[in-house]
Amino acid sequence: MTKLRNVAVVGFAQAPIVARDEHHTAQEMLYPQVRRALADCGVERSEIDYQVAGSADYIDGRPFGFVSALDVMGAWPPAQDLHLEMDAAFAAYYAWLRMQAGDCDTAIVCGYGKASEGEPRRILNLQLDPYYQAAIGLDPVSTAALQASQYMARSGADDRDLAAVAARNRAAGARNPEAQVRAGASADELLATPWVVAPLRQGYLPPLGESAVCLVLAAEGKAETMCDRPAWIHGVDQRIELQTLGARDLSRSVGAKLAAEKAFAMAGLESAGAVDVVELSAANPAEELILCEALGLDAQASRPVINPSGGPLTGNPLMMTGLIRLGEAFRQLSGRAGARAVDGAKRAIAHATSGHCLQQNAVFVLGSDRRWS
Amino acid sequence: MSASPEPAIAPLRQDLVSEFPYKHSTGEVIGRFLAGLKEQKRIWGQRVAGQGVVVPPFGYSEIDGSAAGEWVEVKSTGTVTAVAVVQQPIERLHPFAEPFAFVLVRLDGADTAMAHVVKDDLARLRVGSRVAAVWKPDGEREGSVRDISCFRVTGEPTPKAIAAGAEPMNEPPKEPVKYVQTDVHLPYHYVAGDHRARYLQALKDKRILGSKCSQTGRVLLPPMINSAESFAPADQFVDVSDKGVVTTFCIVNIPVIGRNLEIPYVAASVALDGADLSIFALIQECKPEEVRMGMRVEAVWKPDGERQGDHEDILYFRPTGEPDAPAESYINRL
Repeated sequence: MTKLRNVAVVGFAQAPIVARDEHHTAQEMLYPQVRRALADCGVERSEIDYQVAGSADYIDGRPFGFVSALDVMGAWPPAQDLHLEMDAAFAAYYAWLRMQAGDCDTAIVCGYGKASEGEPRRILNLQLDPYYQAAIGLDPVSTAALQASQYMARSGADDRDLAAVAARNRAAGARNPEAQVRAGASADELLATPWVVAPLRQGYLPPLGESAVCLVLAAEGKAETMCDRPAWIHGVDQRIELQTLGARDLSRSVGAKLAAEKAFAMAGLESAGAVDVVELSAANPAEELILCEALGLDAQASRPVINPSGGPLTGNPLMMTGLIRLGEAFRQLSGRAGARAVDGAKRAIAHATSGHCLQQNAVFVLGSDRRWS
Repeated sequence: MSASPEPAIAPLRQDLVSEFPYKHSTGEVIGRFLAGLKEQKRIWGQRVAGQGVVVPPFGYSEIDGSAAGEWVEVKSTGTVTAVAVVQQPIERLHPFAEPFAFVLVRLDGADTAMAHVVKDDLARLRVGSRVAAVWKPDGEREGSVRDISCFRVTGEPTPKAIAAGAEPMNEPPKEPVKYVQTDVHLPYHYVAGDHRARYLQALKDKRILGSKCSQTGRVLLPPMINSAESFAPADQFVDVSDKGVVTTFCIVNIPVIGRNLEIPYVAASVALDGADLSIFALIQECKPEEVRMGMRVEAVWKPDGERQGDHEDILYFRPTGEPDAPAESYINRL
């Protein structure tokens, strides 16, 4: 493996995930988080070289809203900037790439959007092709249910298996002050919740939530001055799958599997089982089981701990759920995870996804020591 | 940090439905597939490298981008490969008002599955169920994937092997479908945010509020929570005057949809006294050719009792007759 530049997550700030913030626009929610993230790193905005964000203007229905977000990110004097209409974790990947190219040493990565302003099930229908898939009214909960049914038919996993995964996340979420769903629930209680789109029950799906997040990345040399315990990126990869749902085997995530293999190889990681903590962007229990299989994780094992934050099941703010996974991995490795800290965490995996049925996947491997010397 | 020193304000909300029609070009391949449904009640696919028989077809391989090969016909029966039962259909998104299922169906002769819907027999619908297409009647099919109104459960046993038997296209449809219509319907439930809410509420009292940058002292209008230039918070509200100066303008000679004004009229940027950013304004009560940069103007408000707390509360600006302001007084307040 070629020697790459050591780049670390050095700061992260997140607004607590809520159903609806009635007092702030998406941009107004973001501003204090950018300030907090920079303050935690002890730097002024002028010390940041590059800014990149992930959001979708359809979410809050303000065309070119990402331009007004520049006002709260501190884009003046004219900054190097990029915006992705994907989960902001993919923006973090691009910032990492720019650092590998030597274009910048420091970057802020922002995710924002108010899911309560639009109606995501209608909006995300438009992500599908207009002739064959969007035309019949498919929405993200329904496509997730199609995927769950295909996974259950192949694997033999049943309703109770899904409830057990959801219950474990709910218990973890109770320890995360920034989670939206903080009440634990037993598998039996979740099994008694009504179907939303069978085989997915209300208890297996997160409520609509919104937040705003800012993550700070820095290359070796700067990172140590900005954070007492940087979380170094050891490996990262990103993969996309086919657009036509019926042309994919939805019961597996070949994209997540390949991204993981590539990221592990870059990281010199023998297997996912060798890390201490894993944060998966799984917005329902079937996705979590599919991702565990793709990454080679034993969902039953006590280590690594999967989604100690409670995961997306306890807080799923559209366009930033993946970046929060990266932020949670940083918190775990840098001693900032509070009551949900995993004892002695040294290495972590953070996964992000975008699109219907885990169409796009990014896998990050992080460690508390530098990867390349 | 962004906490406002002002007391809390009731949230200002606005619901709005955004609707826009798209007329998507189908191209030759999708157009021919849809014409098969409309004219012939037959389902066509294509042989594709790396994918086998693809239904519905795109004309290329999603695997390697190569061009698709021959057209073939598949059966209108198939096997369900995924099921999602929607308990509470969403109006104007989903095709039915009663519970129904989305399914992926691998039609007999196809190697990929097609997304569609099942309306009845949901209790015995599962992965592996056999289904058959239910067609819309003649005269009602319009060249859409919904020309198959739904699939019905046939009750046959699940086949052991994938059915083969795609037949070459012996009789292509006569006229490819050229367009499909998508009517996007997106309701939104906006909040204004407290800064804008305060600004709009104050207009009712003929007050115009800006917010002051805590670092530079520049007054932002409308008020923002921070200065885009300095990145510092701007959470102190200040009153600015309803008089100001035209910083730049244009004369509009074409009618604009939704704006009921006699043309030509003047749209201008006005820097209000006490503000460091200009707002957009109409200039009336003078001839368009009299408007100039530096001209002093004042707001003409809706009468007391009629102001709603929105941008229409200021009807327009009119000249005050004062001497023009010198350029250096407004050049940095555009």
